[in-house]
Amino acid sequence: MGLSLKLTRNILNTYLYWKPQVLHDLHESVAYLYDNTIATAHTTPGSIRF
Amino acid sequence: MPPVFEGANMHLKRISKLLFASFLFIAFAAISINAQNSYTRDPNQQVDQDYTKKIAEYTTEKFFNSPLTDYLPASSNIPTPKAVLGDVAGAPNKLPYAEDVYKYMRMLEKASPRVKVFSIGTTEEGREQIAVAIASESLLAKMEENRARLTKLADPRLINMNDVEADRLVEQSFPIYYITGTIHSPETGAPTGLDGELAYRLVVDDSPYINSIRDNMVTLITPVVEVDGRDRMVDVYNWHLANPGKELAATALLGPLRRARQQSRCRWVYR
Repeated sequence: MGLSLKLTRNILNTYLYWKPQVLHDLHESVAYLYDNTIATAHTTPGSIRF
Repeated sequence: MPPVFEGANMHLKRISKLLFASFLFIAFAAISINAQNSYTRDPNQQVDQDYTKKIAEYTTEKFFNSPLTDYLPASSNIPTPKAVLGDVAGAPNKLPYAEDVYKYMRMLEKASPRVKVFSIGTTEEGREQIAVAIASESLLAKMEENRARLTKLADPRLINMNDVEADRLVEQSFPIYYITGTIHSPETGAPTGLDGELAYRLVVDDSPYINSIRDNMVTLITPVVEVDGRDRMVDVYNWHLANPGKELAATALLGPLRRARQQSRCRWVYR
């Protein structure tokens, strides 16, 4: 995990300070359909793009 | 097994135990809701009729909502998100800046002993980040002592790898559920609607399942992680509202982009 930004370090410090059992990020994506292209580049033949 | 690995193994078991207890609690809450024929709110608690009417009006399809969120409990002394937004959370054409979201969270803190707002630092551009703790008053009062216990469980060398002590700490501790929103600036929903309204519901609602959450764990919320990008996103959104049909000139972004690059090589203005 990159920690070059202060805002990232602030979140990590909060996590390490309070020791939560669950860290739940309310991530958002395109409604209805989501294709995670991590580790399969967009240019990979056969990969799906939306 | 070498003692050091054995100790680490026991430590993992204890952490797993606490984690399992957290999930068990959430599962229990879910089962309780189901057992109550989906959901029953506290019949003795008034409903905020105006707010509830707006929720129905702004929800484009009924299946987007649920019995848990299709009404808002009323309170005589706790302000709803309307106090800051001027409309209900998630209303069309309303995108609040981070400072507006913080203003609302601090209004909640002032109005209720069930809320504590912690300032957790500032961003590259000097904007504040916060974490909002919500729970029963008695649980909030024990947050620091609970933290001391969780610290010992996280590093069992502090208790000399004593299993009996670890079990005792687990018994005494309560879980912390940390929610973060807008880790990427275009993720506009969390601070706009969910976090403020969720905080209000956790503070005000007297339904059995909310009481159970409030009395047994602390919900910690950072409504906006990427505060700098969020505010820039709101600038762009408001510009488009004021200039319908026009394209925003790319040069308008160059100033902030240049400044951001000077401050951090790794930073993306729009991530």
